[in-house]
Amino acid sequence: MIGELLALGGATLVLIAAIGVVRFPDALTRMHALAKASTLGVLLILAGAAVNLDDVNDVTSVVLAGVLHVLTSPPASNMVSRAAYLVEGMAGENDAVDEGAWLRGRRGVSPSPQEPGRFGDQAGTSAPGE
Amino acid sequence: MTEVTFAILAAAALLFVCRLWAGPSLADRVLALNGLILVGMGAIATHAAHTGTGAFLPSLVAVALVGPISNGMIARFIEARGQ
Amino acid sequence: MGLLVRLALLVLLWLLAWGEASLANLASGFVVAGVLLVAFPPGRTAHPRMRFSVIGCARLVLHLVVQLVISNVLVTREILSRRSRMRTGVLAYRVERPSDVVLTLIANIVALSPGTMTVEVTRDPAVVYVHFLLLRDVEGARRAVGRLEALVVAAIGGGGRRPQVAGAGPEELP
Repeated sequence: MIGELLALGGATLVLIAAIGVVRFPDALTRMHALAKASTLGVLLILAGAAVNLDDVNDVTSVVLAGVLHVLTSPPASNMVSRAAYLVEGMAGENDAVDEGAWLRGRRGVSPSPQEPGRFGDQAGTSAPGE
Repeated sequence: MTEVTFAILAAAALLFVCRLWAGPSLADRVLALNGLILVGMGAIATHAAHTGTGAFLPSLVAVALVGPISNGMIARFIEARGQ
Repeated sequence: MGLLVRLALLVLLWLLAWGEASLANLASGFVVAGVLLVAFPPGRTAHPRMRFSVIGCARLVLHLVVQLVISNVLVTREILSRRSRMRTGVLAYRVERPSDVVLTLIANIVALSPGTMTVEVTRDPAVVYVHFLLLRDVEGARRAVGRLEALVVAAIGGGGRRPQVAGAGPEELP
């Protein structure tokens, strides 16, 4: 009973995260919505499965999968969000705090028009050879 | 109650497929695929707990290990392509 | 992290993968872990002067769990509400006592809890760029990341290099 309730709670969190991925305006903010499902939702489902399983073999498999997932999903989301930020930037209002805008100029990807590069001469330029 | 869990996971998978189809950039589609993988992991775990057969559980470990590698590759590709 | 600790962790992982802690699994685990540690030696220390503190680690885990629950509630409310209260922002947080392990832990813990996401980490100068979903006040957000860094440093000991004096970081912006 407890296991099934845990699995139900985890599935609800995954559904909420899916709604967030559809609703949010920008790739970077959608990563936030997915991080929720990735940490708490799947952990709850795996915990519910571990509670209900009988064989010790299966329980250790589930525990191992949970631990490895928690260890490896942050670097994966780091990589994708870094790529998304460096290429697309942030979809905020024009006065949003964006202290990383100069990074995009440094990388050679041209900054979008409303966020000039950190050094004034980088606004609207692109890397040589692009 | 397990059927309700499966129904909720199916609805979440449908929403991820919507984002996979509509996402304007490659990062959105990678996100949607990651979400589909998570729904798959949840479905495998729920099914194993429901039927008692743990034959599919090592695939969870394999996906947890291989997922970041594919994400890293696609992240490099996004950066190089610039789109 | 000493060699014995790495060996023990690898053997534990092997036992978890096999499912049962029998004598054969233990022996084969030691053999495999030994082969791996010989083939891929740990290399130069990424974090000199490492000092594990159990209380510090416990506080870090507690902070992580509390933060996870709070941010989950906030992001859920943001997803399900009709009016969008989202104000995004990217902050550059300069790490005071940088070392590889401290930077990695900060970046991963920030990526683990929803509401914050690391966008970029540079080593020299040691800056972590964090993207916030609901950025109310900038100084409060900076202090929050500062608290996280203090917890990490208290858990695993201080970092190596002193912060650079003259760096090309965005803190030099007027």
